[in-house]
Amino acid sequence: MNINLDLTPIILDLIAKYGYIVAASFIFGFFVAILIALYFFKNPTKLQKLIATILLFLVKIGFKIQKTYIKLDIEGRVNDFIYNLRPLVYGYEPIGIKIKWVDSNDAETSFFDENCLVLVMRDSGLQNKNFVRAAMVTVAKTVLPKTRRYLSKSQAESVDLYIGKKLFEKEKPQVVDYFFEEFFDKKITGRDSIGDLVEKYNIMDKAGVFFPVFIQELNFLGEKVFYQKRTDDIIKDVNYLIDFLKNYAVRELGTTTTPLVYQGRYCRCGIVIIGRTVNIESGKKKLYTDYIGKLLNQKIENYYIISPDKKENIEFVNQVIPCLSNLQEYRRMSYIALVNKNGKFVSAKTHLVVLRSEDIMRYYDADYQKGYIENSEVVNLEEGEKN
Amino acid sequence: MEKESLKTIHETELENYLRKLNVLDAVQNGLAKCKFCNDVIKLDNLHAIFPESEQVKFVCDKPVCIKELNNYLRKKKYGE
Repeated sequence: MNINLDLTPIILDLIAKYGYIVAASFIFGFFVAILIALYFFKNPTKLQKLIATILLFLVKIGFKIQKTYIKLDIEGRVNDFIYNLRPLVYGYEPIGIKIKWVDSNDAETSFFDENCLVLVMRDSGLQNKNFVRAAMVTVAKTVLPKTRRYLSKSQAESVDLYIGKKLFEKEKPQVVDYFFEEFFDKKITGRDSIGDLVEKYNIMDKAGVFFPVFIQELNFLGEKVFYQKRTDDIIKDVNYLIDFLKNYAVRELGTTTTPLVYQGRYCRCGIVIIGRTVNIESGKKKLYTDYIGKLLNQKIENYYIISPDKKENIEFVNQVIPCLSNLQEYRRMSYIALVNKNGKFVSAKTHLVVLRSEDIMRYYDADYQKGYIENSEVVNLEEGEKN
Repeated sequence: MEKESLKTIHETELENYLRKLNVLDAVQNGLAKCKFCNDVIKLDNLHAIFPESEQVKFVCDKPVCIKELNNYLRKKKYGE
C-alpha cells in the first residue's frame, strides 16, 4: 500500500501555533549556554573537574585515556581548592599545580639539568593514592611559601596535614579515611607535636578562626620578615599564637578572663568582639574606639573584629570602623562558628572584619640590610623597622 | 592563577625512564634504597625520584617518607 502523506501543511500549522515556544526555547537555551560558558571561563578548575568526571566514565568503559584523566582530576580538584582559599586569607596569592608528564626521552635531557623531582603515578585504578600523594606535595610546595621557611618542622608539617585534610574532605571525601590511616601518626603525642597541633587547628577551625585568623597571621608573618634564618623566637611566637587562638576557640561566650590580645615579638594581633546588645543599643562606639586605640599604642598590628552576623551588629561595626585612625580595612566575611554557650557548642552566624595598622614592624636580616639598604636612614636593624 | 609544574611519570613508562637514567638494574636487583628510610626500592613502591650530587635518589611510598620528602624539599629550597 502506498500512502502519500504531505506533512508540510501540518508542520506549518504547528509552527504557526507553537513557533513562538520553539523560538523562546532556542533563545533561552542560547543564553543558558552563554552563562554556562562564562561560568566555566571564569572557573576553569570546575571545567577540569567536570571533564575529569566524564573521562573517568570513559576510562571505565575501556578508553585508553588514563593519563589525561589522572592529570585533569588532580589539577582540577587541587587547583579549585587552593584558588578558593583566596577569599579567606587577605594577601594570599594562590599557586596552583600543573601536571607535566615526562617520559624516557626527557630522562637524559632534563632530569639532572633542571634539578627536578619526578613523582610516579599509578594506574587510574589507584587514582585516590595518586591524588593524595600529589596533593600533599603541592600543598607543601605552594601554600604559605614565604612563611614556611620560618616555621618549625612540626608546625609546617601540621599545617600541611590540616590543609590536606580540608582539601580531601572537600574534593574527594572517599580518600579521607586512607589519608588519616596513612598520614596521621598516632604514636606521636605530647605538647607541640604534630598530632597536638593538628588537634588545636581542628578546634580553631570549628570556631571559624583557622583560615581567617591563624593562616592570615602566618601570611602576614611571611610578609614582614625578610631573609632571616629560622629562629626559635619565631617558632615560639607561632606556638603561642596557636595556643592563644585555641583558647579563644573554646572560650565560653561572655567570659572576660580569656585573653583576646596576643602580643608576641613578630605576631601581634587582637580579637575585638562586638556582641553585647547593651553596648550596641546604647551606641557606645567610644568604648570600642578607646579600647582599640589603647591596643594601637601597645603596637598591636592586626585586628579581628568579630560580631554576630546580624544587621544591627554589622551596622554598629560599620559606625565604629570609620572612627579608628591608623587602621585599614583589609577584608570582611561571614561564616558559621561553633561557640561555647554555657558549656555547649552551638552554631552561630558570625561576621568578621580584618583591620590592619598602618604602622607595621618589619624585620630584615642585618646582612641583607647592609647589602641592599646601605646609606639609608633605617636604623635599629636587629629589632625590626617600621614600615 | 600562577601554577607550579609537577613532573610526573606514569608507571607504564617507569622502566624505560629508569633505564635511561641507568638505574633500572639497581632497582630490579634490589640495590636501590629509599633516601629516607633505606628500605629497598622496587618498581611498585617507588614514589619519587630526584637528582642529588649527580646521583639518582629514590623515595619509597611510605607516608613517613612522603612527608620527609616535603621537609627535605623545604630545607633544600631555603638552604637550611
